[in-house]
Amino acid sequence: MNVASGQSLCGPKALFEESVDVVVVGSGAAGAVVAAELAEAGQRVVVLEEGPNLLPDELATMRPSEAMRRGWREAGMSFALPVGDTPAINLMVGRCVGGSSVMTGGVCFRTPPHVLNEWVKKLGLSELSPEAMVPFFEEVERRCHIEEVPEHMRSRSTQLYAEGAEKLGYSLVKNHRNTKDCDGCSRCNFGCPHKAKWSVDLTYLPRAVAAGATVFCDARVGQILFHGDRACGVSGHFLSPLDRKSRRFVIHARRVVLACGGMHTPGVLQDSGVADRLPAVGEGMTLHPSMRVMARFDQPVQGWRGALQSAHADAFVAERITLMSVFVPTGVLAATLPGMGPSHKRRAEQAPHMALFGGLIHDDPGGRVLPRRSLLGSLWGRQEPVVTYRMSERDRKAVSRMLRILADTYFAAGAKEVFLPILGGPPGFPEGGITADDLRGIDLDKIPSRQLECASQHPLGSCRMGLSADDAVVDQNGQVFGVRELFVVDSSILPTSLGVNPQVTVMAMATRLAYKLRERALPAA
Amino acid sequence: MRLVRGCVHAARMISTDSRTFHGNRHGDGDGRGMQASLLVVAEALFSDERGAPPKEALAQVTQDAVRLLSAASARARLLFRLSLFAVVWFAPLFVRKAPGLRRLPLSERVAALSAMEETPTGAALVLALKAVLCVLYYEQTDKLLAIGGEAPCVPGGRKRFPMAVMPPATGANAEGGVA
Repeated sequence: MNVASGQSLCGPKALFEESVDVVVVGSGAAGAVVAAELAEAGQRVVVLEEGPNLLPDELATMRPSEAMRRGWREAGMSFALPVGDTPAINLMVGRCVGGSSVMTGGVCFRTPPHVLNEWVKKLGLSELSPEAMVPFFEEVERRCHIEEVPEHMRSRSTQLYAEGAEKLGYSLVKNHRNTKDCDGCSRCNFGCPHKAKWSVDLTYLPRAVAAGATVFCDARVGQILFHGDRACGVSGHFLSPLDRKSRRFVIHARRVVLACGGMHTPGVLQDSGVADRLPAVGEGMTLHPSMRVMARFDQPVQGWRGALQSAHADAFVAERITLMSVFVPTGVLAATLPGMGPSHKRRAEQAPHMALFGGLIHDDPGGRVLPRRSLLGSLWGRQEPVVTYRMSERDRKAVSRMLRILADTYFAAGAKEVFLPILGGPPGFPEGGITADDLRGIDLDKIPSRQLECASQHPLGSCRMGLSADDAVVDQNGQVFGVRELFVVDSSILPTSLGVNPQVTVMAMATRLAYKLRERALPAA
Repeated sequence: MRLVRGCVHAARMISTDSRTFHGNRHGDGDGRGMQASLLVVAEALFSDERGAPPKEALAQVTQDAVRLLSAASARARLLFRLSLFAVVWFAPLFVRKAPGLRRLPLSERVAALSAMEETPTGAALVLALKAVLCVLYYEQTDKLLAIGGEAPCVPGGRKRFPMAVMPPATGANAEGGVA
């Protein structure tokens, strides 16, 4: 796939200008889908991606830290600032051609029917019923080769968890992933070195390019351009991080499609003045706060052998908890085990005996993307948006319930010691590891949430879809209220959190919106 | 007086690092203030009964850490620098020593960092440094193998399957599907 390098266009001071039918901002799971569908419909499309173009062969030669540095936003060091008794949440999203789809574990869920029904019944989004969404799910599943992860690809870490779950009366369900010929080397989060993960840089974007679309990498969009109440293009800068050069560009377009993700789409709208008349921009973000519990077994586990995310448990969905198999690189595992010096070394040497399982919360909307013009935004968010998050009381309770389930399950599987993600260790256990007896004596509800280690890969809902500009940003067609020819198609439009990994939901929603855009006449230039 | 000298040194450390990141985003030149401070922590973190690993082994790690941080925003770098500053200067207080980790002998450095890590606030600061250092340290194949890890897979390398022995079939996982 041929990607135009914004870096190579830096240098000349002259403004770079181009006129197209549609400009798509962002090349991730949503932007790539829309670009492919519209380009194949004969529209002239430009895709602008802020991050670099990382070829699979190049990713294969990178150490994980290099992939983090080049492919993750802020090298994986973004955080949601906690408000109240809330953990500081590490936000990990992709920033490269293909976006987060390049850096995910590839887990694919259809939107749970109870979530879609809630959108229809409570929010009035009548076009998003489970039945209406089926064709879009099917299209995405076909395009991305979504397949069931066979049981033999489970890591021993996941197998042990499954054994514990059986003893406690629930079972694991096989995951589906967008993979083909995966050999389970467990480094999906750093870009698949084998081209086995069918991320959008291998599926939709090549289709878009083959149909005539141009993809620019290293191109950061700053603002949307307007002609009256109609969006008519975007402006920004091509970036050359190595020599810190840049060059301003203006892309004139008859239609503007934003797909910069839950953190950045609100920022572009805020910087463009659209948020002034839409109070919901940047509000109501959900994150799917996720945590993991580690367990030490006597026998070797070597949890890095196997599919990174092969199975999940849906037995606790009613409690808004989804449990998910996962593993982390050995270095990360060693870092999160307590200890310094000789004690760290002893702990690190136990890495081959450590199992790990995680979970996420189907959370309430407690996040905000602060406008750059706000006091905190101007001081703290010049380069990257300031995201704040307040965890609700019921989410806090769900977190402590989730941690107990994870720990109990590993103990049922025969773990000798469990490590909860509590900074400074559970009360009375500063060295971290606890036994089953210890766990029974700990009231997890009383541990302040701000002491928890927490991460999120799913910033959603910061420009949610709805029926009115009073409490939503886009209508059911993805069009921003009050602005003609400006559309949002990414994870930011999801009206609530999902409780499951959002990739397929995002792509199916984007497919649905792309079909609508395809049928909608373009305005005169 | 010693405390004042320490504070002056700390201020220099932060300002040096600031110049480094703004002047040279890749830290190839003089991110030395940060590297030196990271080295103090890394020596303690990766030491064993025989002492700290050779400085050369850790130099690569601290250089890589500076490079990694160069990809983050100024905000993230500032937070990291503040964490480093707090750990390097205040960890000794947790074992009733005067501020300044680099003045302490290795064993006391380890004790100070361990004590800091056992408090919730201290653990958050220590974890920020430990995460970066451990990710980079254990990317070195010999260090990874030394703790029982395995070299990462590369295209054309050995396949990972079949893997661990499967548990007895229970039939419980026979059914499955997308939620």
